[in-house]
Amino acid sequence: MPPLAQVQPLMAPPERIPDFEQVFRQHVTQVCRALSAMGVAPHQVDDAAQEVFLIVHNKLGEFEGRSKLSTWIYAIAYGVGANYRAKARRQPRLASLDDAEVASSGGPEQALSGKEAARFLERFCNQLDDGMRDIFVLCLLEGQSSVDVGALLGMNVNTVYSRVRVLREELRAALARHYRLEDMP
Amino acid sequence: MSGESNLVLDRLEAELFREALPHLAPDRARVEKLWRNVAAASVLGAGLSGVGASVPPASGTSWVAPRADATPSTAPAAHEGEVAAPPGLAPEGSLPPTGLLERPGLLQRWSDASFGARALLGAAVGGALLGFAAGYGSAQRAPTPKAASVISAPASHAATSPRVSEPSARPAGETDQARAEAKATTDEAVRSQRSPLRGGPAKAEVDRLGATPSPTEPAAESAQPSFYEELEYLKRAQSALRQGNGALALGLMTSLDSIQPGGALLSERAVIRVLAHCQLGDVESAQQVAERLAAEGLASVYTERLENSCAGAVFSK
Repeated sequence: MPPLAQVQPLMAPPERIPDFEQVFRQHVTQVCRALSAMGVAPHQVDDAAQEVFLIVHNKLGEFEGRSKLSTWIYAIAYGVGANYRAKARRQPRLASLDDAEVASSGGPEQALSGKEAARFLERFCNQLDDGMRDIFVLCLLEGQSSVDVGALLGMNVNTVYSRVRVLREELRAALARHYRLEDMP
Repeated sequence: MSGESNLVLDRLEAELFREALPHLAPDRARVEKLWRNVAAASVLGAGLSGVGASVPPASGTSWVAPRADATPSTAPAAHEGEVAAPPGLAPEGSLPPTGLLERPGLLQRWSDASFGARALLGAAVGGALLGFAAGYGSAQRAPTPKAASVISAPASHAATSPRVSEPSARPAGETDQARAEAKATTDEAVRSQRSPLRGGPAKAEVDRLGATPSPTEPAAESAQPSFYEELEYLKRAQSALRQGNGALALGLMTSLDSIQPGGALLSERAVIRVLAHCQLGDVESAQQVAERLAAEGLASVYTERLENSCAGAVFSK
């Protein structure tokens, strides 16, 4: 049996609870992006983000470091975003610029740039149902692990994997349509 | 699809995300604005709304969070307006959802609006507030819990507020210990935050987070009185009153007074103060505010409503 002094350093120290402002600044970008991609109306994204961070502020002390802080914050953002989305569904939707077609660019050698790419992704997200959209946002856009996303959505991890695969195929098909790659020999 | 197409798609897919991500993120000004709002709202909520014990200290290390032991961890979180908790999470009372204080687009449009449009909108809003005040009903006359009981998270609030916590389950023994620890923390927080507006931890937290701009700061936006900003505060205060959260309503009004002492809706502010005091069972304060309101001749349109409040005696003299 090794002496205790040799064992202790091997034990992971409990994650230090960071300062709230630090947490906010580290995660606000991802939260706003995720909320927006989840389908929260553009004019409500800031409201929703504020709600997310109020909950984070309120619960930060309870964070025990058993999961990554970012995963925990995404879980909150997911809950808030889903509420906003549900509320918005009951209200008549006005056509917005988001619905506009993304202009077709020259060819596959010229990738979509900045805003066009963002619009393309928004349009792609808009055509997905909520379940697929959440997986797209959390796994593909925000890079959360399928295990974490499965736990968050209450879904078998293999289901998440298979849906991610389907989503990637759909995205690539959309890209192929956009660039008319189907016509390529 | 050919192998070449697949290679092209791999590249396009990678570039799509790389190009899009920066454009899906908020810019710096928006982040700063959001931070100011979050800081202000979190401090107000923490100090006043019943989650005062949830304010982490500046260090963020030694604080023990309270746990609401009244709510079972298996409670479903599928109601509207409630953040759906991830599986295995223990739902607990938390801050009520709070809207933004500022809406730049609206502010800009408001400042650009003609006098006639402003007057028309002002009248409409005044009417709405009058309707609110008149329709608030006699429920306010019923005895209401004082601030301390609000701080201990009323059941109705717990049922409607967002609930999310870390995806983990505690062993039973640990949970009991945590509850005991949390109760002690909550009690202490309640004692220390009975008068959050007169200094104390909440005030300190406001200062720390910079939610209240100092007089020397070039706080351009808060220095410009904005009708919409005032209206947003009032709407939030009304919402807090409807949810039985008089402390939050009172805090919002105090915050509004501090950033915008004048304004178009002073009567409404005072009426909300009266109702909030009534809701907190502080009849004396309610009457003092009502007396000032009456003395300044601002109460005329709300007389009937105020007569039905706990400060009604002031108007029946």
